[in-house]
Parts: sequence; structure tokens; C-alpha cells
Amino acid sequence: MPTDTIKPYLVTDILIKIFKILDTRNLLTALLVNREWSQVAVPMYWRAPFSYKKKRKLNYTNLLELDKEIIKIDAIFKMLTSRGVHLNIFIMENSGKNKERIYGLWTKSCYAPIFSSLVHVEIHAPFPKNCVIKELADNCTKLVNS
Amino acid sequence: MDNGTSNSASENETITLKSCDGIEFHIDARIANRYTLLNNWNGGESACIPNVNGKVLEKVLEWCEHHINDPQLNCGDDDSRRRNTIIEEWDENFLSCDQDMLFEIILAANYLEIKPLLDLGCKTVANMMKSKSPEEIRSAFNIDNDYTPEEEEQFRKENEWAEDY
Repeated sequence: MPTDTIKPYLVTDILIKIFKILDTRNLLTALLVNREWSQVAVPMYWRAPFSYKKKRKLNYTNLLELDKEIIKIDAIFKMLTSRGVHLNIFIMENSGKNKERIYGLWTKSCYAPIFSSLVHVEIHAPFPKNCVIKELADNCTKLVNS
Repeated sequence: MDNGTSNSASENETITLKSCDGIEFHIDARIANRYTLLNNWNGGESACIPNVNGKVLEKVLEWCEHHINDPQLNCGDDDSRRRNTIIEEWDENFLSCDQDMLFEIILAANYLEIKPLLDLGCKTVANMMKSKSPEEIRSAFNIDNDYTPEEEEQFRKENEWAEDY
């Protein structure tokens, strides 16, 4: 903490603790506050986008929509990298009952570049096709399949 | 500072804590032991608490004293404590001080490793952030906006998937 600050100032460690309590909606607000807050909040916010998405958006009737999402997510990771935000841990959680639909996300080739900047992926659901695991393994230094 | 323990000093051991600006506090040794305030104690007559000033240390000790009989928390229950966002009435009143003091208490609790007080402070700040806009948070917490308007708008677009969540 810089000694010249007169006002008490919430350091990164404390911001992390506070942001962990926030729900996703409030985390979005936090990351828009300023650059420093965004550096802390963005990795937390993007920790598991699909587990939030799937609740509302992923169903058989909007598979077309799904393709758009993939492009968008790819662009988002490029954006994060360009802003110097590097995700060390990215947890994919798709252990819901709609597992097989979400699985469709992973087989798209355009999805692969996302993983090139990741060092650690945890998969919280069984993946039936080895080719997907292989794709991930090629791109991540650490892959946890639980 | 007023030393309320002088009458029962023979019964309870008293320890002197000294803030970074030299203010002394005579506290029940049980408080110091319960909240491990003596990490910086060199075994002399008083323990010095660097980085925490008298005003803040007084508040922190007030909290410790009130919570002297709280059960020790297990190490692994970080998440369960965090999930519980309910704040006791006494704690709520205790932290309804001005915001600079709230932040000072959080920083002191972090420095002194008083985890329940740190959690409490973080919860309080998180509650203050709820249903506020980024602009309202900035003005509430006195934070400068270092985004340009264009950047802010772009950043909002890029991250807005939770808007309707």
C-alpha cells in the first residue's frame, strides 16, 4: 500500500475477498468501476460463464443462438488477453442434466483457440469423446478431469 | 485510555497493547489470546501493534472484547462463512461507522489476521455494493474512474452477459 494515500484504500487481497461474496450481477458492476477493480473482478466474473449460461439460454430450441455464443466467447477471450487479463484457472462446470447439449460446444473447432492461453482447465463432468480431451490436453499444461 | 479492568486485575491477567501512534490499551489477556494479538509481542511489558493507529485499534479491541466467547472457527469453513451474508445486529451497529473507519478496520483485521472481523467487514462492503451502479459505487467509495467513456461503454458491452442473469 502506498504510504502517501491519506484515505484508507482496499488492497487487492481484500477486494478479492469482497468480490467472492458478490453474485454475478454485482460482479459485473464491480468490474465496471475502474481498471484496478476490473483486474480483480474479470477473472472471477469469467470463471464459469457456461454454468450461468446454461441455466437460461442453452436448450434445443436455440441451437442457432449457440453458434453465436461461441463466436462471442472466442472474441471475449481475445479481448481479455488484449487487456492483459490472463486467466490462470478456468473452470468449466457443466454437470447439469443438459450435459450432452453443452458438449456440443466443445466439439466446435473454432472453440479450440480459447484454450491456448489457459494453463489449467478443470472439467466437472464426464466427457464421452476422447478427441475433446486431447484437444484440451494439447493446449493446456494442466488438465483436471474429475 | 480508561482501564476498566483495574478492579479485577488480580483475577484476570492484563496485557498492554500499544498502537503505532503510541496509545496504550490495557486489555484482558484472554482477548489477546483468543484473537492472537500478540504475534508481535517480544515478551516485554507491552506488545506493539505497528500499522494500526489508536483510533482503529480501539475499535478492533472493542469488537474482540464483545466476541471473546465466540467459538473458534475451523480452518476449512471459509465458504460456509462467506455464504452466510447475515450480519448480527451488534456487528451491524459496530460497523455503521464512517466509511474510512470501516476500511481501516478491514485493513487492520487483515493485518492482525482476525478472520471473523475481516469477513464481517468484507460482507458489509459487499452489502453496500449491492444494487448500486458503477457510478454510485465510485462516489460511495471515493474511487476515480480511469476509464474513458468509450472504453467504459465497450467494456460494458463485452461483459454484459450477466445483465439479465
